[in-house]
This record gives sequence, C-alpha cells and structure tokens, in this order.
Amino acid sequence: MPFEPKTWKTPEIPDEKIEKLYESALKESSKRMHRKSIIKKTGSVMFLILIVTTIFLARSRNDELEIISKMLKEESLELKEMAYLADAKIDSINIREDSHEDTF
Amino acid sequence: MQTSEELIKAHAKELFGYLCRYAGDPALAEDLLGEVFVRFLMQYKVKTDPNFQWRPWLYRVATNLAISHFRRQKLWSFFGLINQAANTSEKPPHDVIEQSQDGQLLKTAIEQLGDKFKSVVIMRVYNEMSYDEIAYALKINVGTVKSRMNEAKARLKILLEDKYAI
Repeated sequence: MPFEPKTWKTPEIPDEKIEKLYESALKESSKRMHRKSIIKKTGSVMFLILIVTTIFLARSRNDELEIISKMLKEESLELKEMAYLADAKIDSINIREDSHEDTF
Repeated sequence: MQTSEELIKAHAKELFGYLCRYAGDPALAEDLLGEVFVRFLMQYKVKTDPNFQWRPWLYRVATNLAISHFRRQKLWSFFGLINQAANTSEKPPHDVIEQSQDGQLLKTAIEQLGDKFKSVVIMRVYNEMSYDEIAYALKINVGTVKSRMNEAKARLKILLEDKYAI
C-alpha cells in the first residue's frame, strides 16, 4: 500500500470565523499598539527625568566640592601666614641670643 | 502590495490546518490563530518592505506561540494549576472530524516523532513549504531542515513499516 499522507485530515475553518477572528484581532492589535506607545512614552519621560536628576545631583555635588576647596585654600593661606610669623619669631629670638652671646 | 486582510485570508486556512496538526486540538488552534492575527497586524503596520515574505513569518509565529503555550501548560500542570483532562475533553461539534483508520495511524506516528521533527514534516508534507521557507519559519539552517526531514522519514518508516511502503 503506498504512503498516503493526506489521510490525516483536519477540520476546515469557515470563512465567517476567519472574518470574526480578523475583526477581533484588529481591535486587539490597535489596543496593544496604543498600550505599547504609552509604555514607550512613559519610559522615555522616566529616562529624561533620570538624566536631569543625575545632572542636578552632579552639579550640586560639584558646588559642594568647590566650596570645600575654597575653604581648604583659605585655611592653607592662614597656615602659611602662621608659618611665616613663626619663622619670623624664631629668627628674632636667634638674633637676640646671638647679640647676648657677643656681650659676654 | 497585498493588504493585511488579503494576506490573512490567503493564509488563514493553511495556518489553521498547520496549527490543528501541530497542536492536536482544533479549539486551541483557533485561539492560536487569533493570536497569530494580532501579532501579524501589529507587525504589518511596522514592516515597510513590500517584498517581505509573510508566509514563513506567519508559520514562525504560529510555531512559537504553540511551543510557548505547551511550555506554559506544562509549568501550570506541574504546579497543579490546571487540569489537563478538562482542557482537552470538550470541543465544539464542528471541530470533531472523523479520522479514517489510516489517518489516525499516521497522526499517532507523526505525533510520536517529537516537536522538532513534527513541525518539519507537517510544513513540508501537508503545507507544501519549500526548505527555505521551513528554515526561516523554524529559525534553522536549510541543511538542518533536510536532515530533520530525512530523520523523520526514517523514523516514520520504522513506525509505519507494517502498513506502508515508504
């Protein structure tokens, strides 16, 4: 007996059913497309918010760092001044000691 | 360029036949066909290439949907969320088709081949698709399609040896 694959039959789908399926698919697809576009828009807005927040935080951090560096600079100037004064004092003491030794 | 409605009407019947054979349940095939239509319409609005080959694409979507359906069903039945017997028992009367003895034998034999070979055999023998189309639909090489077809023939020969001269 020859091999006859067509003996495995399947039911036929009526045209009206295809029409019905097509119409409901049209509705469903437009619904999904709408949902997809909303998700896309929400996603891009959230991404924008994230970028703006990151820039804002980075800027405020930068400002903070600038203030700190200014304070450190001022402090270093003060320290330099103090060191200069201390040096001057040491020099004057040395000079005085030298002149004292000379009198003996 | 064909409209979406023309394309659907041109391929709906053969796709339904494919899904019936692949899924083994006309009611399920109808549900899957509806979902294929939805995916197609969503893609149709986006695709701009007028020479795009929709036929193998539709088969790819249909196969993937059937595979994910069975995967989900397996998972749900594993957790006891669905009763498999209840899922297949009731079918609308128009979906019940009387299968000849040979047809039943062939159906059982092809179902025994496993998903990998079953899809290739159904597409090639029943839907008369080219090897290139099958390769696109299943996302595999043409060589793999040919070797699967040969393997399927060999297995069917063993399964149906007494009945046919393949």
